[in-house]
Amino acid sequence: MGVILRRLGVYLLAAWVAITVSFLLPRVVPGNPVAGAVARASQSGNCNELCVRAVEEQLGFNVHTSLWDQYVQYVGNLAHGDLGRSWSENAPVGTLILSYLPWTLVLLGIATTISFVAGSTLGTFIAWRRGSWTDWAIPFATFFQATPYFFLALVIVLVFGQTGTMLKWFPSLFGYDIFSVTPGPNLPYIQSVVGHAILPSVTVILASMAGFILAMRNQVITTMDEDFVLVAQAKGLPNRTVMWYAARNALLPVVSNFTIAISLIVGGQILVEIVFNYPGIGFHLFDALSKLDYSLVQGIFVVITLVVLAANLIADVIYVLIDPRARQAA
Amino acid sequence: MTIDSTTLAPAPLAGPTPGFHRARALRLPRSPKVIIGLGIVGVFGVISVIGRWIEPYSPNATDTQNWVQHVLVPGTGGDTGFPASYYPLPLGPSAAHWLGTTVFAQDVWSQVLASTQATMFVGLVAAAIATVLSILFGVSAGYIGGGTDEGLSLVANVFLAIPGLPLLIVLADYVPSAGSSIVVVAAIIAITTWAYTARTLRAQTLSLRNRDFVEASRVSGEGSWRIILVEILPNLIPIVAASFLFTTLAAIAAYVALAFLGLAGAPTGSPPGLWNWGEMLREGFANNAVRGGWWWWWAPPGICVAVLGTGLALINFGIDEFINPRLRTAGLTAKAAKKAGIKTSTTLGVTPVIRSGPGGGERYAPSASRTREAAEPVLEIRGLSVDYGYGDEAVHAVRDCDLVLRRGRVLGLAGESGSGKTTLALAAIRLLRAPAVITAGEVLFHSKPFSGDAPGGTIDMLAAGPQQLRSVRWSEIAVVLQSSLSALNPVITIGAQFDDLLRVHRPHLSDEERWARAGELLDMVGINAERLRSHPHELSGGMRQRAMIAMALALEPQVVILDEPTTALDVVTQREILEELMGLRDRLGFAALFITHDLSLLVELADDIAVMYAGRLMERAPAASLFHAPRLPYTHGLLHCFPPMHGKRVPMEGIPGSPPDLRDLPSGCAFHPRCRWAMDRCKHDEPQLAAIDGSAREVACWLHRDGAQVPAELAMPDTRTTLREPVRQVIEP
Amino acid sequence: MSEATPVLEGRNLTKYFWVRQGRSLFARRAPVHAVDNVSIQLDAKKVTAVVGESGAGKTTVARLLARIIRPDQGSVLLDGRPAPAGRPRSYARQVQMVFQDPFASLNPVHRIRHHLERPLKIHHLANGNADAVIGDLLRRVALKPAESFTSKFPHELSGGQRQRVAIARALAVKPRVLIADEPVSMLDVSIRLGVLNLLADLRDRENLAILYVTHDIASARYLADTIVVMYAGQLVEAAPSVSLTDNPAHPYTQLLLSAAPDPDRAQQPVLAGRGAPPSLLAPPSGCRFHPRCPYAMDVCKRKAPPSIAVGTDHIAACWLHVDPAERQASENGLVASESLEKERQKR
Ligand SMILES: Nc1ncnc2c1ncn2[C@@H]1O[C@H](COP(=O)(O)OP(=O)(O)OP(=O)(O)O)[C@@H](O)[C@H]1O
Ligand SMILES: Nc1ncnc2c1ncn2[C@@H]1O[C@H](COP(=O)(O)OP(=O)(O)OP(=O)(O)O)[C@@H](O)[C@H]1O
Ligand code: SF4
Ligand SMILES: [Mg+2]
Ligand SMILES: [Mg+2]
Repeated sequence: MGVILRRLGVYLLAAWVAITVSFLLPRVVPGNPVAGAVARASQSGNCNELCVRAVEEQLGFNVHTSLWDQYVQYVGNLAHGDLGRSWSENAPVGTLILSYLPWTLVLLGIATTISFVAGSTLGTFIAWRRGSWTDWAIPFATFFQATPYFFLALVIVLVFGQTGTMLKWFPSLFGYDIFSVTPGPNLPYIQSVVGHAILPSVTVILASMAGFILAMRNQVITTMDEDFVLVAQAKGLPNRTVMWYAARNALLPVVSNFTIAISLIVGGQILVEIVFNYPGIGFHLFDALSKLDYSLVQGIFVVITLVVLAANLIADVIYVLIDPRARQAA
Repeated sequence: MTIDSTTLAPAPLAGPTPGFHRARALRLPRSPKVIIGLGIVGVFGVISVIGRWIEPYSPNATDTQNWVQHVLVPGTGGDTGFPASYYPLPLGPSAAHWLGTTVFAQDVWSQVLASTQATMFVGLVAAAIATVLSILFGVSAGYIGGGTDEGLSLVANVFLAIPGLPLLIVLADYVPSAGSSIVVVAAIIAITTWAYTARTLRAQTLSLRNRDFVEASRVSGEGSWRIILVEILPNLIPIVAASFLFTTLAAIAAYVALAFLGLAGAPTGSPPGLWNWGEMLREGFANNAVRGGWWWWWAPPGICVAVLGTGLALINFGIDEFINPRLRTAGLTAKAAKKAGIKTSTTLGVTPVIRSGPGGGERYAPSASRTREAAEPVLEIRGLSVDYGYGDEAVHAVRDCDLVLRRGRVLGLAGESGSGKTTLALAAIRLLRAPAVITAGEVLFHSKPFSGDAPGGTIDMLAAGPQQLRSVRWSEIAVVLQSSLSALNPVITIGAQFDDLLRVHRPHLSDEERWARAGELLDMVGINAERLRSHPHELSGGMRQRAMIAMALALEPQVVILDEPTTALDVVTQREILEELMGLRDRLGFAALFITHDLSLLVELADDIAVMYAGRLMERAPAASLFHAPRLPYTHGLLHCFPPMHGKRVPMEGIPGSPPDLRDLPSGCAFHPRCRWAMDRCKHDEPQLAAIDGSAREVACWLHRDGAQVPAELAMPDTRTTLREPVRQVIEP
Repeated sequence: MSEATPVLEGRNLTKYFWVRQGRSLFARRAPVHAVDNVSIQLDAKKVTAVVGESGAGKTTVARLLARIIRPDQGSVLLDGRPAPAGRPRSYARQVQMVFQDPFASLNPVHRIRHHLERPLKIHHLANGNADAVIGDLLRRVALKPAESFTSKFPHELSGGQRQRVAIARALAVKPRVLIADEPVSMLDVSIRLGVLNLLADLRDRENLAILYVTHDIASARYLADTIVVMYAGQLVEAAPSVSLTDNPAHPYTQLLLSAAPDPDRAQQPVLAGRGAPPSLLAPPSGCRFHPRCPYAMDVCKRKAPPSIAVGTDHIAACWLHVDPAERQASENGLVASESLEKERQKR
């Protein structure tokens, strides 16, 4: 339990830092766009005091109380799930994000799981058969690893997307067919959602898998030099078992570095959502940015951070489950 | 967008320091990966400098001459009722525009060239800032330790946990000058990427700090700053380099992403930003270049990012292999094998056998072993030679060794570190890993199983297939290695490690029976059966080694290879385990090949002893004879390396010089540079192991050949007194 | 033990390491009783060996004497005067250390010259002709020709050569005390004696006081003038080396000797005791050896034995050597050592 609690402490601190950063940025960075908008409104002449108040309210920017009071209020509101109000959508940020979140979480969950499982398996396989033709996978994986997610998304849209110009196999715009199906628990809607998720998830999987492949390959190769693998072979165990021995141990450092992986995947997925106009949290972040809807931007940032921290915590729990040494200390 | 593979590897603590060995560093650029990587990065580097001068057009200029078709927007004009509206269609690649034009009739090629500079600049500046930050944080946390370390690590961990890109977006969005100043962009990117490297460097520094050379500096009165700068930092160079490349890559990706989001300023905006690949992608995307199928517009910048990233990653790969040589061996072996014209089998866990040249197994003259037919042989090794590597690079680790292990006997194999003891023993069961190759010889296993369903009769180990080897391994020939901590799988219980063994070799046993048998075995070596539920790290070193021995005896093998089973243990534990082992030997009747460098221990323990030097067997004799009447100068010297526990203290000499490098063996007898009695002949001709005329003693030394003058020390009467009770007597002359 | 003032003396040294139980941030810390009340003297022109199993606290004693770590209790005396606080350069000049692993104790990125030059520079000993001094140092540790070694990197040397360089580095400041922590245990058997002979030579030629830490009692007998046996953080026996190995007084020393490899032995050795050293987090009460001791008596479980002189310069901490009447008396609480003991336990 100790390890997990310790990590939880780190994550709580990280969440606090993220919240504080998002609170401070519009308030202390000189010349930031929120302050700018308020200043413009109050100087424009055709906006009276009430109007300025309204603008301030809207932007969540208030110069009339002390920073500390604002902070207390901000955190207090957050604690009640109140993330402010989005002026572009004219709705509470919290409600909005709740409606975006499922899209992102499902895509992220499925893509990360598949990419992790497939990537680790492939990486193990490549390491196991090192020196053979499988080594050709390495330069390819390296290339994929270096390719920006959204560029891969553009290529995939071009080749496979219905908004592309080549094969037009799969839908590549929006989260479902907004013209012909009604959201709800009906089959056409579900089919449409699944169909629309194919290309974005394939993109995220392809882009993130290479990292797992390479990491796992290096780890398995390193592990295979360990004595216990030699002993497993000396024991006459079938190759399958020996490979499992090596893979299981190699997995530990990969899982313990999941923090970095998940951070990259989330970052990449934000951009993928934009390319596909996929109605998740990333797409709306982009949307809010272009509409200068700062309370929405902040809210989304805080929520993304919380999601990533939760994912990290899951990875930590998994780590403790698969490493008896950590478990004992736990 | 990468997971850095370098730093995923656990900090290489053991083994050679991951430091900057000049000799190894020079080898780095020779790897093809590194060369390609350097080439790619070099090309982009050059372009980023000269791009401005070689671009055929200004990246902003609209090419009015070739200004293009205008296309009717569908649903306008004609009889639609809407006024006709047109959009321009970008030009595909042509001679005038190698990569075509944008929708604004700007030259894409020129834009790509112009963009390189800003992109590379941000990547490098961000990486530089992040690296400096991470060195400051990581090294001071690692070096100072204690509370400072906890605090700094916490900061790094917090930064690591906050997702990078969203933080970057928020920061870039609120910092007003981010749109115009690429230095600010670089700084913001650095803030979101330093933590990872800091964590790696901290771990490395921590391990270096505990290294003796740092302590030694401190002991000699060196100040902290000098220790950090002169002693520690140079050792971190490879890791800092790898981190720098990794951060460059991450920073470029981040910059491109920011620009794609429109947060890095547009070249046409106000204040104007700079051309960069992300901006090109943004414009393409925003102007429907994907839907239009105008790939020439947005594909080149994307490909540039990917190729440059690949180049950086390839260099990093090279550094990885430099830091962690295990990664390198893989590629090299296959290549070297091919070069030497050898087809290696890809069967893992089975050492390949390549009998090159004439002779091989036939060379063995059986005369030597005929003299002692005391007990029947169970494992016969004849003329065995093992190389590491192939062709010219091969290290001949074991050369032409003959060894006969007899049923129920203990054969000791002594020799210094690196003399090839482990190689010889593991080659016999073909357990050596690449790049080991068995190049000559014969290994015969005369099987007479005590139990189980293993094959009987004589098995040619070097001709056996994987299946046959698997059935012999452990059930008939088991192995105990030196370090029980690394020999046991750390993540599963001791019980599970017995279980998988019994499951494979004793398939008829039920789950409960297997568990009970495992408990019995632990009990046999004096460990409570409860310990089956423990993980290896929960046991002490002695208990782990006992568990390992119990495991080795689980299938009642005929042969147990004990490779320095007690070297890592305290004397008392060593003695206990050896007593147990010998007791079990008497009870179960297995033959043991006992490897150690501790000749004094072996004399107490073994029936026969074989002494190895530089990959060859140099002397073989019954333990008592070898101890009281060594015939080989090396054996004589080795025996005089162990100060006695009784009697008057007299100065002893040891053996002058040091063991030879196998890559550069002395000519003639490999021992001659260290030999007190070396003759001229020893420098030129290599002596073969053979019986001394008129006696049963076998030695590879010219002193005992052709009537040479034998020094008195090497001619002690071989009274064949046994050390202890005569049960152990081996030789019937 | 000897009449003259010892060059370096540790008096009643005690060192506990506080370690976390578990990895949690708020885990309890518990003391590892690494060294408990150990007194040791190093005389000029003498090698004192410290022998014991792994974890006995040998390295900790060596580091305490080198003042790399500070004792919780007790003091270090240099020439009979308390050593200065901290580890000033003046102390470094007198007391030097050689480490166990010659592969780790030389910095792989620096040439041999650097390793020998730094101490000279730090202590301003070179006087402009560092090369000559370095050459001389290398010759003193029998690395000849010296010139061929100065520009080599550590990885170009063999283990024995590296250990000689490490010794040369320690000698560079012309120390009076050399603390060698298992200097040969990582070396090949055939070159160990060479390094031991070098140490013996330095003792004789340069009047060094040497502390030789080892787990190999045979090599201690060979090299040392005095052997000190440690068990579980405590000193259990100390004597001139031959009399210690020939007539061990403490049951633990007897056990060690019975377990040591000895081809000259006439009979199968009989282990004088079994088991493994105790956990230092919760050391056994009374005599720490009592759970393994074949002679353990009631009193052993309850009270730590006093150090008793059992021969010339030969002391052992064992109740067996306390005469029975006194043993009885001490059980009743009449012996002075007991009140000390009580006080110690209270802390
Ligand atoms: N994978 C390898 N590649 C190249 N050389 C190797 C490899 N493994 C071992 N060697 C070399 O082969 C020689 C014999 O090694 P081996 O491990 O058999 O020695 P050993 O007698 O068992 O030594 P030790 O007592 O240290 O275990 C050594 O000189 C070693 O450097
Ligand atoms: N820095 C430390 N922190 C915590 N415990 C320590 C530390 N250094 C030593 N110990 C503990 O103190 C005890 C004595 O250690 P020490 O290294 O002195 O033993 P040693 O006799 O030198 O053993 P070895 O033969 O293994 O070198 C051990 O139990 C060890 O785990
Ligand atoms: S004091 Fe007692 S337990 Fe300790 S060694 Fe002596 S007899 Fe054994
Ligand atoms: Mg070995
Ligand atoms: Mg030690």
